[in-house]
Amino acid sequence: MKTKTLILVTTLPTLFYLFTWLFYPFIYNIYFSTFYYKLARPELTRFIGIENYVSLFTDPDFYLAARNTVIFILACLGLEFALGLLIALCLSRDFKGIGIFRIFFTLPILLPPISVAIIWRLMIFPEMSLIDFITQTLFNIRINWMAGGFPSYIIVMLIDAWQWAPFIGLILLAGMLGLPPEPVEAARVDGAPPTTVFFRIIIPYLKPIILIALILRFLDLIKLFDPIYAVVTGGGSGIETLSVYIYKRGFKVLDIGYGAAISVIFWIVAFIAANLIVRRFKEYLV
Amino acid sequence: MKINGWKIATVIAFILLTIWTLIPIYYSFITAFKSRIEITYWPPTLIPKEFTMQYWFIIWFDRPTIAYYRNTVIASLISTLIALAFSMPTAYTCARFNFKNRSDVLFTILTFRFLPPAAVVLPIYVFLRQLALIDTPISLGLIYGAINIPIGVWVLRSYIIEIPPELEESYMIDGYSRLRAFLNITLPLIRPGLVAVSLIILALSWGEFLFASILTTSPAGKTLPVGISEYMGGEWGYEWNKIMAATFYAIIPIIIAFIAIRKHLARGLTFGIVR
Amino acid sequence: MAKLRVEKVSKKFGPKKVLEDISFEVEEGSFTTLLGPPSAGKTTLLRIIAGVEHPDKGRIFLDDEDITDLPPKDRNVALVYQTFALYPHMKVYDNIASPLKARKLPPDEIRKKIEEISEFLNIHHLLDRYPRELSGGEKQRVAIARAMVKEARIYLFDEPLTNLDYKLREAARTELKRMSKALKATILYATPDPIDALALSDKVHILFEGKLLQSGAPREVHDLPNNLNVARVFSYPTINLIDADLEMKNGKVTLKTPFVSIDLPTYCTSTLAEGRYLLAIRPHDLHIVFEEDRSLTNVFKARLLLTYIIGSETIAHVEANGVRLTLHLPYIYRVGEVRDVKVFIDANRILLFDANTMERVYP
Repeated sequence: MKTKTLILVTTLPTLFYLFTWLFYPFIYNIYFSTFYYKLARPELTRFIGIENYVSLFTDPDFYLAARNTVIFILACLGLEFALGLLIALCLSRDFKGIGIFRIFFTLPILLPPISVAIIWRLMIFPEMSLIDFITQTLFNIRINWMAGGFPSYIIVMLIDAWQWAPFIGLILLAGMLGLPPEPVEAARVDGAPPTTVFFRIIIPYLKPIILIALILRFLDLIKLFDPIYAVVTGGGSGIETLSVYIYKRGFKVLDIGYGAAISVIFWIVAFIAANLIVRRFKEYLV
Repeated sequence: MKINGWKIATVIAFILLTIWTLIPIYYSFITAFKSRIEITYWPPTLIPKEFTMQYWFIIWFDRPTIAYYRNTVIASLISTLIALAFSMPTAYTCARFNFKNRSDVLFTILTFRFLPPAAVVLPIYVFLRQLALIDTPISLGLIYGAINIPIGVWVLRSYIIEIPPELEESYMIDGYSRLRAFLNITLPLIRPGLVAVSLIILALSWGEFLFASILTTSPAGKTLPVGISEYMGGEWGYEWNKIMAATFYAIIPIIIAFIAIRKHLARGLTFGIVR
Repeated sequence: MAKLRVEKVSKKFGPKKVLEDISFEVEEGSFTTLLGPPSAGKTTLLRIIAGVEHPDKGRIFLDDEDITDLPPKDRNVALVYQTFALYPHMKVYDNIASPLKARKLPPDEIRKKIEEISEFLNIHHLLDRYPRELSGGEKQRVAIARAMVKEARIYLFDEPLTNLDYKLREAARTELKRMSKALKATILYATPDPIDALALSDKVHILFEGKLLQSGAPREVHDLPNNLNVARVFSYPTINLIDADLEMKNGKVTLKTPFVSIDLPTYCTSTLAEGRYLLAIRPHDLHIVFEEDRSLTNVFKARLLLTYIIGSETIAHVEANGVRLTLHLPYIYRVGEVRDVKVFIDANRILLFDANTMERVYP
């Protein structure tokens, strides 16, 4: 088989399949978003042009969702990175049994995010919350973590960090273990204190790896859904991200038209963000 | 032994991290052994006063847990098969041939990975509803397959690149076609990587929640994550022992898979970029 | 045994021209060498002949059959890679059996052929091992076995000796000579090492930066390179290059260098013009003079900089009036207290190249 044919046969179907499930719906969303379309009352469907978008851009909940998404992206990323760095530093040590710790600390990564969220929900569930018990013993206060507002933000961040800081830790660890030992040893022999060794030598070496880790998490955090869903179900609200917002307004009430409008905006923003970031950091990726 | 400030700090860090990682897992695990009343105790108990095993068994009977498990398995398997079927040839060609648009193809595939499911789920819901394919694990598998193709392509490609092309060429010169060279030379040599990618895709499909919760409506189609989360709302909200037992049945296979492929994990989750 | 004809083959990788308009023939049963430095295009050329690479232009003929568009499996050629390319997940036996299994030969016949070839190459005791357990020399013999067992129309060797350590190289070279005679096959052998060309082959083609510069019997091409690049390629150690000025006075032609003046035969008045040339002399055509011999001309003083001994020979670096020269002495020479030596340059062996075109103008 000629090379050119082979290349086409092996790449086109894949691209086609991806487009079918991940791009084609986008087009459909654009179409739906121009209609008043609620699945529960299909007979009321009518064309309303950009009215959905007008409602969207005047809906304070939308801006709240957008703002929350950004807040969570930045805050979670920061927490994940700080904790992940700590994890990597600990795991880069070499002593007997470090292997067990390496497995144990990175375990959360592959767990289903919703399961992680449920496990944490258990710990914050009002009137039986383990965390409340701790806060009461230590600070004599009880907080309803599920009621929305500041505590809920914190919990979501904790849930996210619990699961994903190890991811960053794992990547940083892989990078650290791959470091050539000479520069570090040379610095130590020269008498440099550990903090200098760390910040002036190790971190610059790890820059590409840190970048990869941050990029991957950043792009994943745009879709943040599971922890928020698990925390606010049956409880308060106000911390929804865009994904949760679509779930509530589009699906829960089956308002397809409006939901589609949110989806269109969301898709475009995510697509642009992903493209920009991937193209900008191309060199690090290949 | 010299007592070093850094050493103490490290030990403290280890202890804190261990507690931090351990408590959620431990607490939820033993909750599955608590009786109905003990769950609601205040203060919450860290060691059950009465060890109850019953909930580990009950959940298979008073809930469609078996159905949920079955659906999860089906969807995950289909997802893995589809993802591999599409991504393997693409990964091979992108690894071996330096064609003009290769970079564009790879990066387009990568960006698809970062599209939010929520942004495409509504039309898919409408579409599947019309085809009466709502609430089937097969349709979930099809979607998951698409979501996981990018990981398949990038990670498999990174494994294939490590095999010197001369091996395949030599085999072709011996008298075989390129396809045979791929099957008899490349595949056996990337087998550990292939297994790792498959398990990662399985694990990712296993735990997916958003698509599953929207696109399934009954035990005929619901997967484990959805089924378990149902325990959370409304009247079932307090049956934590059942919830936790079910959760652990769901995550134990994943933990086993995780331990099996941990050497490949960093590579698998970073699209082959970090070795 | 087949004859190979390469016609006007060209290949580009991106903007880089790796092969330009290459045409040559390899006669049936001959041992032909492609001699050239790294990235001259030798490997690419072999790969095109084997079929794993496709030329942009040109055709390949085996026994007058156009094989350019045939996939490798239909060509019946054998290629021994520089890296040996043994299949790591198969035992040595299965590695060698691979081409025979491709032809669907019955297992008994396969076993028989492998027994034969492994005896001949002295690897019979290795058949049950895996490639990772073998030494470099052993791997190379397995790679050759896999090629030979095939009874191919032509055997292609890509720098088979480069990955062996130098002690093995000499022995391996002898082995190859023995094998090629026993094989009675058509062999095309790529190498950067001139010694391979001189020791093993019937014919040599010089490849340099993608172009075929000269072809012919090894001795001839060695002694009379048409072009400075050919002289450079076909020389170990590196050939000495000196700027020289040609003067003609009273019918005498003199070549003036910073350290010696050499008279050229009078016929040169008609073939050469005055001016600047590049004089080339091989290291082994420079000799150290130990006894005074008034009759010797073309002797000059030089200062020893460095010597190192290889086996039973010595490479000496000297300096004469600011010009660095390399000598290759066929004996062991240890530097004593005295660092000033007298060097004799064999005028019969000098080559003169045009400073601009790099073409040989004398002899």
